[in-house]
Amino acid sequence: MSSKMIVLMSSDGQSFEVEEAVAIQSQTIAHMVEDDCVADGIPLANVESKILVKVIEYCKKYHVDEANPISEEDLNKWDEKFMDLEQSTIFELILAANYLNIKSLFDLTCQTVADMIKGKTPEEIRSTFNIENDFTPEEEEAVRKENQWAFE
Amino acid sequence: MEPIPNDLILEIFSRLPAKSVIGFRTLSKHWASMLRSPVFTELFLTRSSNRPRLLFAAERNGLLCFPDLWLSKDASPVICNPTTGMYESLPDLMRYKNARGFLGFDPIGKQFKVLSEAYPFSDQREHHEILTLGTEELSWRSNIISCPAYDRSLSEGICINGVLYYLAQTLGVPSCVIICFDVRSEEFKYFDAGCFNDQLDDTSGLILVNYEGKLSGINWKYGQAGERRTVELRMWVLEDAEKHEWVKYVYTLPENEVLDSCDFSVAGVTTRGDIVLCMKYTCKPFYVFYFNPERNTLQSVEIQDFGANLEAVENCGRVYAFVNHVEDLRVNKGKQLKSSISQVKHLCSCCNKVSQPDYHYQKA
Repeated sequence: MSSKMIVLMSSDGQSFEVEEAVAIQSQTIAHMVEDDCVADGIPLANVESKILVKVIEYCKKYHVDEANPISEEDLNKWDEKFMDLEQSTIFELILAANYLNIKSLFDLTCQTVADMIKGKTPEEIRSTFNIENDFTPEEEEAVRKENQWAFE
Repeated sequence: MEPIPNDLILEIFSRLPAKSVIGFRTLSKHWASMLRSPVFTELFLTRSSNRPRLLFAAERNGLLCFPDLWLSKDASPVICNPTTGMYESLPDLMRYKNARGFLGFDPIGKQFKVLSEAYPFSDQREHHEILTLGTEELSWRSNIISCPAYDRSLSEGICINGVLYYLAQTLGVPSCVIICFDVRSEEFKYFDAGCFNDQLDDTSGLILVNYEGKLSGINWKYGQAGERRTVELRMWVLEDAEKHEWVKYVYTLPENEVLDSCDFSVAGVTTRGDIVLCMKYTCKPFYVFYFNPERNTLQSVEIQDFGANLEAVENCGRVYAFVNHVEDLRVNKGKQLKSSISQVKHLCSCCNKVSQPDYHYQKA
């Protein structure tokens, strides 16, 4: 029995044919399928091909059925290898998972970044997220003192 | 690359340990206020509730030590949140020698209240006093609705769905009852718990737990299976809350070399239904055991790094384990607790409990 295929189009014009059952792990795509506007393919203006490839890889792995009977433990191990990526790529994945509304991928990518940054200094965090420090040195020191416990 | 929008940064931050979140208040003024906002603290709590942990406190030389905080046992009770390092001293309360305190949470009014035994039952004074946390001025007040008189309380309390339960012994012919205190309405009820009567001599090993939503009592004793000494867990579950019917379950634990040779106590039940046993004293290696009654599996887990200080044999301390610990950033008005020994404060000596809301037991 052949499974229904749909076409996903990345922002940089590349097309990917994917099983519908795999693609609808994205709530965004699932809604479009329901609304029946997928005939000419689904344009994903916010997702570059480099990232879409990873998203599709994830969805294929997580589409668990008789053909792909993978255990939770093996999925967790696979997650670790899958997330061995550059920080900028992981950030792009967060944006894509958010846009495509794939909860488990969103959770995984956010948790991975949280684990990467938890030991970092405020200065490193500001640089990672482009946060401007609008505290004067005295104000910053006051906040630090107030929360001394967190810095020990 | 497109910068990550603030709402997604919040999602990332909500998955950090509490300590990091508090540290990140120094990022900028905007983030200091974002990370304190009710929206974020609720989000953080939701995430934290999905990964409940075991919290350990070790007691040694009169000091109760959480990983970063040290508190000393004294007469004046204190409520503290080890996640944020904040504490509140409770106003002094005249209590009789073996009076207990209980912490409960009203999920509707979202308030913590402390219920304390005060005087032995008499006509002159109220037996209990109540204190609501989070108000400007903390003060004890008498309960309006009287509690049926009992001889003494026999267990620590457990709060399930806004009702505080604890075991007590009746006056006259000794028998066990469960006292129920509705945290919101502050009404007392009680019902029979005669199934625990054969333990009246020594109820110290019995704890009340929330087993899959039902009030239960667990303790253990040694048994015998042929040549071998076994460990038996006995659990009484209030299967029918309306009719107050208890069902007893006895589990003989699978053989485990470490468990069979150490001093342990029952720490509680996780939201997944595992009964947690914990070694009583700090030592190296330190183990915690998870027993699943349905699968009859016993898993031992080594906990590392209590710190060389506590692990040295001559320094061993009594360990208390709190199951289903969830990090909570919501902070009652309170002073910052300094984590150095020179600034010791006091811990509620009656219940040794910290302000982690028990209502998290409901989140499956």
